Amino acid sequence: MKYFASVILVFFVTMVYAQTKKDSIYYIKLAQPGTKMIPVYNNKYKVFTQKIGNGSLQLLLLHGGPANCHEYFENFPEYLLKQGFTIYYYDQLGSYYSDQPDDSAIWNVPRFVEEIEEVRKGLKLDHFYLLGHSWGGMLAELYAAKYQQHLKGLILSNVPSFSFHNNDTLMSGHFIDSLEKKDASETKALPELSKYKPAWLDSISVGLTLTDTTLSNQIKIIYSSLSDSIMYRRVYYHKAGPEPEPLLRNHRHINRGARDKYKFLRQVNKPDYMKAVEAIKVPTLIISAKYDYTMPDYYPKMKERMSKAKCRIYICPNGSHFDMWDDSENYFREITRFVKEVDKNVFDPGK
Amino acid sequence: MKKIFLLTLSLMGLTHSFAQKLDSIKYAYGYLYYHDYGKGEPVILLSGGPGVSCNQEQEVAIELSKKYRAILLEQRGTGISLPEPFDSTTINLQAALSDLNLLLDHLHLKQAIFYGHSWGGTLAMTFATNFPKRVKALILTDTGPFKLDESSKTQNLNINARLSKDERLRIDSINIKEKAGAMLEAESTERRKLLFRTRFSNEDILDSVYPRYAVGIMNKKMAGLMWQDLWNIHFDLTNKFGAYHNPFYVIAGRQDPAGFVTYEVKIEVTRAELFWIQNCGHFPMFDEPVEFYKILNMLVEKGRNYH
Repeated sequence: MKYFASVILVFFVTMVYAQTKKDSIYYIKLAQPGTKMIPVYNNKYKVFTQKIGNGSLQLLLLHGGPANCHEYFENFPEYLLKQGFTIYYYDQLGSYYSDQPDDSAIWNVPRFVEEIEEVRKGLKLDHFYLLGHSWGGMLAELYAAKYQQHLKGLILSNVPSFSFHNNDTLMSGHFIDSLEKKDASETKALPELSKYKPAWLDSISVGLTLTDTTLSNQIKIIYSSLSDSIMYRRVYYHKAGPEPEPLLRNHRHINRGARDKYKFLRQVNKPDYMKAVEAIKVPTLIISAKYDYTMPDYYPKMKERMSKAKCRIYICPNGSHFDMWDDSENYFREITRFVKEVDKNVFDPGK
Repeated sequence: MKKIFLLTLSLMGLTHSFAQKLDSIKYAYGYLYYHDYGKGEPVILLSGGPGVSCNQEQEVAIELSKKYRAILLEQRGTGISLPEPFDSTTINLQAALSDLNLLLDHLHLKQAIFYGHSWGGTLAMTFATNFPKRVKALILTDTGPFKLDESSKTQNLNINARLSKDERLRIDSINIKEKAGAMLEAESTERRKLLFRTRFSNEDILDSVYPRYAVGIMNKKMAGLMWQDLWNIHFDLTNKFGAYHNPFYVIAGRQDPAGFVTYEVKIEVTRAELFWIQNCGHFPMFDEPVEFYKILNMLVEKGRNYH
């Protein structure tokens, strides 16, 4: 009878879940050694973690997105294991390898912060290093402000600097505008679009529709895919040649459905990140890249605000938003240097 | 019910408590992943297929790591070792051999003991004949063929003979649906389960063992490309074993539908030492684990002490 009840329950649960379709890699990952599913949110759901390596420098990784997954960190072992690191992958709730419940309540920023604390306890980590990339960096700021007694050091990687300037929308607005203008002019000049009249392209590029709707839609599809790829190559992956497979795999696995259904992207800018970074006392590395859309020029202002913490800024000269892939040597060298210095208690942000 | 529950629990404990690390090697087409277990004499483990994820040999690696260093390679095109591009230029026998050299170089090993299960055996034999100095000993378990001929047909006949008429019809209908592109996920699993039975001797533990076998997920694209390459190059190792002088061990289940390959190996390589396991099919690590690990440990020890 009990057995029967559990079957019913399982069936019910699968009905409720609105999961991204799983491919074979999903099952392969879950069966790999080192993986551990950790219960979060009052044991209601489980999140994916994986321990890689056995070094003394413990580094927990927070992915961006929201709702990307840990896969784009897959080159971390190559650079860091030989430096004595243990790497902990972790998929936030709602991401590909973790539970993906169709539950509006999970899409809540403070809940994500508490989730990190639950994961920390589940992995039995204390005095560890935390790296947050992009949205993961924003989360890391909020986490550090509340739970920094558990941290040895903090790495804010490619974190959007305009999240500190909610009031200064003009600044970030100008920046995004200038990027889009550049993008539009380059897209319009592409040979693929040469058969269309420039006036049509101008209209499409600013989001207008042409009277001939068929033509309009046709141009829109071609235009947006070309413009996206130009933008992508400019600020996300700056290197020439094919994109790395783990990065592509991550893009394929992003759970846009649930995230957008509950309009989570509107929520992520609401917390007071300025106040959070002001509270941080642990040694911090702000690492980003020259071509990133996150406005690296703004980091010195952020550093000024972090008066209680020793803080170093490093900008990868050849990289963009995924600088662990397009400027790996510089990125990992600086992370290793920072963590080793902090670990030996010789961290000097001026150097 | 309780028994199965306990088994799953203890297994989970096993996989978590063993020191292992997942690492990767950067190469021209992306990353090649491998798991590194334990310390001591290095043993490279190659999983079957071609195309099956190395997870299937996880338990063997864990067992060996109690005394040795077991290195479980996620072969190119399986598991998460996906090359970019993924086509015949990156998936072929030469590429698989170069990956083994790459792995040894990366680990700074001049040579190592090679363990290969099924297709992994085929790959290990090919590597040993091409790079004899890099293989300290060959341990093949229910090895795949060393040449392409009627052997795949023979295996299919053996498998067919173990299926009931209804089961054969069911598999045929699923095959037809697959060709039409209308196969459901559940049907694919059903077919895999039916075929799994024929490679197994102990019927009573089939259900509990199936999940441990099924963690080795098959990448069909890799399998297709590799078979195509083997046909293209007329894969045949006959008369090539002379180059390799180190120990040559073969473990095989008496009831393995591909067991005839083991005899063929013995005919070709007369010095090969065979170790048969009774009441055992294609997966001795699941079918007769006690006997299998006893032989395997003994052979690794023999290989380690060989000069």
